[in-house]
Amino acid sequence: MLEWDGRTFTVPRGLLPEGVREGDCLRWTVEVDRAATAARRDRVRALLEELEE
Amino acid sequence: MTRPGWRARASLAALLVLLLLAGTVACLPLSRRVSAPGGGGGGEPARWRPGLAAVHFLDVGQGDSILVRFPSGFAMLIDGGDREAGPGVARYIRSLGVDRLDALVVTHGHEDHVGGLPAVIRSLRVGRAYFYPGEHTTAAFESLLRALREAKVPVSRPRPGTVIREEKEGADTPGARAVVVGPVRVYEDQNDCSLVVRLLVGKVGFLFTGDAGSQAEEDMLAAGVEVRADVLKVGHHGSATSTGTAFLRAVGPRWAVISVGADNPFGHPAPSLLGRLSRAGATVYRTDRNGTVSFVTDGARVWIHTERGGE
Repeated sequence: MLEWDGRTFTVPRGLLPEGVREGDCLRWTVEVDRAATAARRDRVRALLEELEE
Repeated sequence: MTRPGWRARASLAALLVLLLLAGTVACLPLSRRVSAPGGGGGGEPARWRPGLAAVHFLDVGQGDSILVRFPSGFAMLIDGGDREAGPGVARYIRSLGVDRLDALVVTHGHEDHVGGLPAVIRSLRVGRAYFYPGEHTTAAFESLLRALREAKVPVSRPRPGTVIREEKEGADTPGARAVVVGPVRVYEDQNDCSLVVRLLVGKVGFLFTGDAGSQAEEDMLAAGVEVRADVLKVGHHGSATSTGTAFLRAVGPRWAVISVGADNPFGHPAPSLLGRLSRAGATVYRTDRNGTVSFVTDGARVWIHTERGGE
């Protein structure tokens, strides 16, 4: 359970760094992974082309 | 049916926004169950039998999954709920004695519509999948495509006017026809791309709108598409931005079904939408209150069964 901006929300433990303890302050960085997005788009399009009749 | 509190879901929603921004898809740890069909009473046909059609709006929480059984037995599934709901959807369909889906309609790529489909595809034979005119870059959408490839299910991209299934009227059976009526164009918005299907059984009409929003609705009306229906699957879980007044007037539903999760963080169904349905004179069924809602028809009469509660 994390506290942010006066509210609390739950985060899967697997997304938190190893060794984190109750009461630790966290810095949260989120990046858009454009390469992974493009790679998935390519995979999805290839699969659709293969399946379409 | 016990559901987890929405306090946890609300906080999860905040996380989900962050994860979506990161291009990551999270699987919400929600407990969902689809119950077996209940029986009717008073001599009414509680279940499908040859010569009748049945439409089951499955209770999958916040998501959509609708099973249609034609008078011949032809089975069509529209969406499969989210990943948590998938095994329950497959069990429900099997509990009806159905082990093959002749048609699988994928209205659009959002997880609450396609996340459960891989489990369904692994559990039942599928004849053909009908896809909306779009794609999505989520893991859920890719998983769906991989499951279809494993099961060797061909995919069609129907256009407005494409007939998915047509059955002729006979001595003991009504005619039935499922036709794609939308979207009439392609949108950037995933919801507006939703495949919209109209089913006519005898004189009884059903309209399944996926998550289509007001823009897609207005475009369908402008294109002169026939949307009249006795039973409307309300768009986008009862969002305020779907099922507009003009569209509702054109559909003219006697019954409206909202597929929605209890106490969801989106505020579905919106009070303004419920007001529009009330003013339109539609009797509303909600899967969060009524559980799975089933309509059985002989093409003239309609019998309605709810898993729990009344209207």
